Amino acid sequence: MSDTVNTRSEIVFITDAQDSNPNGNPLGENRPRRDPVTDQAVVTDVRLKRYLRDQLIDDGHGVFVKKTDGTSATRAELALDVLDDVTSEEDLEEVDVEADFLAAATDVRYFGATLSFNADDEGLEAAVAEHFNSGNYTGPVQFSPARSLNATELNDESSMLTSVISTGGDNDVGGYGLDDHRLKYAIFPFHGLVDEHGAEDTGLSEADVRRLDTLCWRALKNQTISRSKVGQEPRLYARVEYAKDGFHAGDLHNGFELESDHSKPDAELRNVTDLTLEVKPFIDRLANAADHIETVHVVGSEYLELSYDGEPVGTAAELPSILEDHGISATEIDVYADYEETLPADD
Amino acid sequence: MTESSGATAGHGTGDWEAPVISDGVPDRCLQCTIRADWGHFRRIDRTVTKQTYRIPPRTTIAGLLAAIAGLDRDSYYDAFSLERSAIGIEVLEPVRTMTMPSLGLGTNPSETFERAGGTGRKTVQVEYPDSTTNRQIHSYEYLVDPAYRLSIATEDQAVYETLANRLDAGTSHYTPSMGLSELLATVTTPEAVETSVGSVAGDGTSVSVASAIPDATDAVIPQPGQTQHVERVPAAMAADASGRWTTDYADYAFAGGESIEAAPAELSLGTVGDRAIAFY
Repeated sequence: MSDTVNTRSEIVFITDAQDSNPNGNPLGENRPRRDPVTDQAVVTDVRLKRYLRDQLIDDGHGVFVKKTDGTSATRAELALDVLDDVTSEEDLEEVDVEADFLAAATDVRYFGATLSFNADDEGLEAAVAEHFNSGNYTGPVQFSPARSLNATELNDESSMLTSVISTGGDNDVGGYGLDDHRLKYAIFPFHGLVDEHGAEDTGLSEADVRRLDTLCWRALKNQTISRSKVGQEPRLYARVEYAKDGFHAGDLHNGFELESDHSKPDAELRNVTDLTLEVKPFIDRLANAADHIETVHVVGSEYLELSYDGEPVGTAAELPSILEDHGISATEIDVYADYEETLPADD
Repeated sequence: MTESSGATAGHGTGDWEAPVISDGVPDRCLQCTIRADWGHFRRIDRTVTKQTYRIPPRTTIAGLLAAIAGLDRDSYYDAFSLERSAIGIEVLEPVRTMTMPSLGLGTNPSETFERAGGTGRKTVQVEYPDSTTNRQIHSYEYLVDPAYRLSIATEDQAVYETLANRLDAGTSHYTPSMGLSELLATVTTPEAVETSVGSVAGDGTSVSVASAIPDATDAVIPQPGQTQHVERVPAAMAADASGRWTTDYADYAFAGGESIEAAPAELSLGTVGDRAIAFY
């Protein structure tokens, strides 16, 4: 595909959760996932991708992996139905069903998918499988599970929801408990990569990557709306777009830590205003790799304070100018002006 | 193989001559360290629970190196076969795991797949996970903060040269990961990515080995107070048109972050830097 993205990007996406359960453990009474040794909270890549897919659906994009109760358009499926007409290897040249499928399934272009093909005619099956990259689409966009920068505590006050019921007219009204566990506060740096060579397999386009710049932000704003998910916010998004030489700095999410002089102790953190994020390791790492960097696409929250080497340097919203001060090219993302440019065209 | 970049100044073609391996020990090797927040090397002998190996199987390391070099799937098994390559694995940190269940789409074709297209007799039918039904719980065991130092040699000149160029420049073709594609990993190298491998001095009865010790658990000399792990992991694989399969296993002994005393007789030992490494 001609407009396939051909530069690598590395993403740091910092979110936080206040009095919220950002990712419950289904085998642990849906308690927030935590590392039992360090008390750091954990949010899986699966949870983050669900937010992103849900935002894609809300924006009207075709999505292959749907909500369980969703009624979103199933255009991806319809594209595959065209295979009904494919009875010979020649037909594959006539109907470019793979291109239609990938064009319809926005989430597959980002995160990949697995398909398998059946046809009695071995030659045909092999041809289709080859056409479809054997049915294995590895996602060119990957996010790692995130671990909170702080040791977290559970909010005991909210641990019980009581549902009041009466079983019949003469019976007393009784209550029974439902577990509801939330974190008091946690701040998570997600680490993501866009692999320019993996992009060839799914046709991930420049526009798709530009869409990520507003999608992550809007997904955390718009999709964290259920009872236990409220209280999460995007705080800092930085996509480092590298030159076309196969280089990426790596490990960028580890370039952030809580600045001890300007942050409350972990046990007292309740709110984003209780902390300052030290960004020296992040900025120094980028400055060392400046030759490999095209630009850093940034959007940040004005509530998140940053420091460099212990000195306050402004809020996350000011990160672009902070980066420029250290000789790193930066581009500000205007989420609400930019996102409309990557919405699906009206049919 | 498509190469968008690679060689840096001072390392043109010919600067990286593939090592010679004799008795399992190379005369030179490449060095790198791979770290990640999480790792998962799924045990091939478990079905429902996704348990992980504690050290990356040699076959996984071959896949990681192939991704960095930009080699196609199934194209690199010969270059990293037991006959033509030698790899040493150091476990740099104590090993810790954490189990995290996740809700995912089922992948059992007969139960949880949807179909589209034709009948599958004359026309093509595609099967894919039904994403509108309830998710299944899969329990994954993850390694926490895994870190391994690798010493790598292959006699395949082209593969060695591509890999050396990539590691030396700090670049990768496909982005490296720690076992699963979402477990993003960081690869670092010492200033000199290539080093000569020396012979190991010792009294012939006991050597302090920095790496995991392959296929020679008899050689390990237990020490008071030291916890050692032994794990059987896939070591080599082969492929043809029908798929790929494991052809050899190795029992690795290791003590996270610590050296192990071993009797050298059965091992292919070499000195990398100041460390005795058991190659396999």
